[in-house]
Amino acid sequence: MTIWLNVTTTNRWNGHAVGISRVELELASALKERIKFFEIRDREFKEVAYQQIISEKDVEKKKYVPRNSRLFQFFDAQKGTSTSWLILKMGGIALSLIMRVLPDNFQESILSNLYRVIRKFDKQLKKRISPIRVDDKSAKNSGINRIPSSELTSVDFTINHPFHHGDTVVSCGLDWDYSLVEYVNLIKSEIDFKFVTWIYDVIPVYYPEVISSVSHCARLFKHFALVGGVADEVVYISENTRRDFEKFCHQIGLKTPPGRVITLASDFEISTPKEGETLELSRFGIRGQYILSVGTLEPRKNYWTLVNARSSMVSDEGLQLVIIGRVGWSTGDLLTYVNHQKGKNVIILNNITDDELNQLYQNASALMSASIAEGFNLPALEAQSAGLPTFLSDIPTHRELFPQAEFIATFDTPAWSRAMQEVAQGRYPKSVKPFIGKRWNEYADEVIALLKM
Amino acid sequence: MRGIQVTTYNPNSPIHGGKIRSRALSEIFVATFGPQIEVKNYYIGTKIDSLSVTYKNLPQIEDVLTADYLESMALQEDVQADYVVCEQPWGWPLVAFLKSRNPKLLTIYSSQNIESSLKERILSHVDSTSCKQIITRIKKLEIQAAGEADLVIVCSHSDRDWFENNGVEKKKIIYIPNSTNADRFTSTLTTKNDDSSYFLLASSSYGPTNESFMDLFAAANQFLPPKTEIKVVGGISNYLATTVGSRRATDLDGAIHLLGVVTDQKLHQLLNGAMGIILPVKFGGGTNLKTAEALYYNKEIIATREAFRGFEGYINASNVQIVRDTHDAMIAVWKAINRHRSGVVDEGQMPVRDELTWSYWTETGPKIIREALSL
Repeated sequence: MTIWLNVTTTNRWNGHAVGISRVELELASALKERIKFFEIRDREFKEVAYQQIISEKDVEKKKYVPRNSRLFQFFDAQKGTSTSWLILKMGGIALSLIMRVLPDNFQESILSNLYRVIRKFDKQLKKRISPIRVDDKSAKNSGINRIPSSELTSVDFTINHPFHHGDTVVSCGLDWDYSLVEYVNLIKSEIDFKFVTWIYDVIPVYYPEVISSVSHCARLFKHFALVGGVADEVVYISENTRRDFEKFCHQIGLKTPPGRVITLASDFEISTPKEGETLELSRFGIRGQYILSVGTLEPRKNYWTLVNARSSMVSDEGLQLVIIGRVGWSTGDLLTYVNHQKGKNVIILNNITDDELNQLYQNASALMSASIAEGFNLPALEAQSAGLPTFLSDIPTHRELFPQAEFIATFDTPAWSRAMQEVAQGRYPKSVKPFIGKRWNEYADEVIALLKM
Repeated sequence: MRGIQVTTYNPNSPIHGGKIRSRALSEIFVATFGPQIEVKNYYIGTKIDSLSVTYKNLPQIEDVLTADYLESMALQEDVQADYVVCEQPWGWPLVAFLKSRNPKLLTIYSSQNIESSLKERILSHVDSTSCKQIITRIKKLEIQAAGEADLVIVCSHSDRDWFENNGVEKKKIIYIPNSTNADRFTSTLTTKNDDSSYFLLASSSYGPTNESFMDLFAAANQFLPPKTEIKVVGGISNYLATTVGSRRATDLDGAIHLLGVVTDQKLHQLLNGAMGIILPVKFGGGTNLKTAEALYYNKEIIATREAFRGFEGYINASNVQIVRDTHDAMIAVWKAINRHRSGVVDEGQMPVRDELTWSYWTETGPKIIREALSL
């Protein structure tokens, strides 16, 4: 009897492992001696060796490109356009390649000059560029290569797979993007095996307005419904997610499969700033005191509330809001705003390595997250692990997982602004007792116990 | 007794609810007054364009304008009728004319819906002062028809309320809902396939219904489970055939199976074999015939609230799910599927709803009509 872990998400992931890809990667790393791995490719379940999984080292090999540059933000802001955007994007890609071979000190200088040139043509360009449309751009931005939707609809064929009677198949990735559960359902009609899967949140069902498109919501809805009918065991990342999924199953007339909550982990630790780090931070455009907010740029994260709160601070303490996250969807206005204020109050960073993120946590004054809905909010855990004062929107998930945090009503901009003011004035010192959170190896141990290995 | 039925609809080969009701009411009048009833279809359709001056730029009002010309179309034999049934307010000027010539004429206003409200919604996108004028004119005709008629037949309780609120005498209003002929087909239907896994959408192509279906099911290919589809019959197939492939309907392709217009026999086979029936009516007057059919077959019903106008008493039935948006539709579809798979639904154990058939009303209607007319 073999335990199989699905690593399709990891193998398709283009960027640095975060969120769901991080969970899969950590589990793969922790369990590599005890289990086998598979991925879905060309409608087949194929066994893959651990060495074939993209590792952290592979990711780190990718040379750092200063995505905080206004130029790159400018490129990102033009998304949703057709020809003009394509030309700009290709220009951006070409520029990225050139940057990789240049020393760091030249990079920002070249980019800044190029940015000034392009800004001159900005007005002319804007006349030709249509506004950003709300669309399923998450497909392009989620970090994985999607299977064409035409392949997702029909499972009326035989699927090759390496599973045997009595095996356990574990999957904790972006399974809805490659119809995993549909395939599993089909294979289960042939052989009897145990299927264990993860539910990170049920946000597309209960907060569809914060999802990029109806199409994406529908795809996730089907995934949840299939999980409810097919899974033998479900792992949730919070009690709140478990409650939501139970409610969902009840609504569609299903008995919820057995499950347990295994909250996420973090390996971040507080440490004193190292000498020379101020210089390093300036590379990101950070001048001094700053508040962090981490997560994909999308409406669910409610960054506008934080940006507006920063703008409306009564006295300007030089405090910067540093947002770290991939460009998701419906972010055009935010990026345009950030471009226009030239990093004075708000900076957006992308493609940050673990070491850089660690450094940014260590030097931040606080973490703020105004999310409308969350399944967990890993950055909040990371921030607390780093001893940071943590300000979170007052939603059930945050209340459950981070009771030590300061809670602020999600859309109460003045309250967020007051909190920023107080952080700037030093009223929230970093914790002298670092938060003792769960480590990834402990997380893996809980999964091992679940799988009875 | 000799009667005439003044209607917008040509009752031959009825394929949509209005025509079917018109035909069914004709049968009820035959059962009530005897076999002599003649249908007068004075609808002059697009020819009215050349006649219209005042309302030239308003769309979909040819039916209303017919009112101006009906009087001139009256034949001497019409004056000699014993009773006249009028189905739309714009037919009433003819009835009034006949009544003025024949005071003994029994007049019946058999309402298919509240036409002024329906027209108001249809023309809601038209910004024109003549639009208000035409709606006011229809409402006036509608109240006049119901007020002057010896008997008013309504197809929903809300329509009854509307007439009462507009001063129509309560005791002369009777209720005969839209019903189904399903009982005439059930004996010929083949055994239902237990593996049936389709939802049925049966509708004519009517703008608001088309829109409503798209609002609810445009992403169907993303949320329907494998091997489950929506079979589509009726005129709405034509609309969907031209819509699939458009940007809005990217996720519809693959989820629907368009069958076009089918025979009654085929329609009832499809109704009988379906796992569920979709009723996406957004607005409209009267009641929805397809709702009666869905209820009669005891299928899982996924419907808008508007689809249950006239059938409000069934809205809390266990097999009925009312939906407002895609989210509701997704939940309803999956709940229906899970109920179906788990065997919760045993159509054989569900109540037999004879009151939803025209056979029932053809049998009981004459007594109700005679009592209301004190015959």
